[in-house]
Amino acid sequence: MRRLYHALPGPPAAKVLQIIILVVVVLVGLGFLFEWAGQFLDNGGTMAVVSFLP
Amino acid sequence: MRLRRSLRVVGWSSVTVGVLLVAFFLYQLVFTNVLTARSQKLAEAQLVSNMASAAKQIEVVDTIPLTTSTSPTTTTPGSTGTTTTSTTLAPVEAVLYSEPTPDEGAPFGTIQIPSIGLDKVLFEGVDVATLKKGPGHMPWTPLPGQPGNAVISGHRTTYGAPFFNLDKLEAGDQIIVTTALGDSTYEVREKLIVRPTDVSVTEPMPGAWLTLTTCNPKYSARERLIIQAQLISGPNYLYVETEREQTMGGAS
Repeated sequence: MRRLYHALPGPPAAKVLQIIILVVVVLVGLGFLFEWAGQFLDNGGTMAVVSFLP
Repeated sequence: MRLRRSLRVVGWSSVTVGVLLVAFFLYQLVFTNVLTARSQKLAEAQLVSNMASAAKQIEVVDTIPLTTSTSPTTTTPGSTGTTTTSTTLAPVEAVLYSEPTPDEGAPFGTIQIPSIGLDKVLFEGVDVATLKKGPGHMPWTPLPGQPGNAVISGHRTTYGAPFFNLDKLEAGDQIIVTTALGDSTYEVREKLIVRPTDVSVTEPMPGAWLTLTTCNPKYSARERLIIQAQLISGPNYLYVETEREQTMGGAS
């Protein structure tokens, strides 16, 4: 984490802003990933949905 | 040195995958339940106004004249020990009531299954966003309480898991759906497991039926658990039964 901080360009304030943006992007990405993967656990039980499972 | 570096990469990768897996299951099994609980609470307030507005738009769609019991009938209540006699008029026609189609995603009623402790607000629609709020009614099937086959889908293990214990239902268990029309009570007749593409369970059936669909087994979307229940009382029960008897009489 410290290495990442030092690798970022710009003054300290810009580095903190970049880290915040990075964290938000990662969290949103994880949210999408978890939603997609959650369909394999439980997709709501609707019928007539083309099954992607064998 | 090289081996140590490889081991470190493998170690950190395993830790990352482990953390992601724990986060995933926390998200699915805890966080989604919190979201749905909040949606249900918000929907309760909206449901009152939606049902009041729908109740004003209830219409009589059809009537079937009853050939029997058109004369006044006399009933004698005996449970109180008094000898009072009251005279009541039996219904002279079976009436089919209908309520307006709810807006997509809106709460329009409740579903209660006392034997498994279920009591949830029902929403119109089975899209991903609607089912996150609670059990949803398939819009292309009749509304609960109407003749035909009303289909309701719900999550089994995530988003409040309304149908978690659906497999525990047995023949004879009651399902009560309350809409603007009033209470419609169904009795469980069938429990099936089918593939998700087997849409035959949603097809129209003679009489008035309620079909509940959810994922099966728990924590997998591989199959569907289907509960089929038949209307045994409600505002349209007399109409449905009269129509069924007439159809059967006509067929024989």
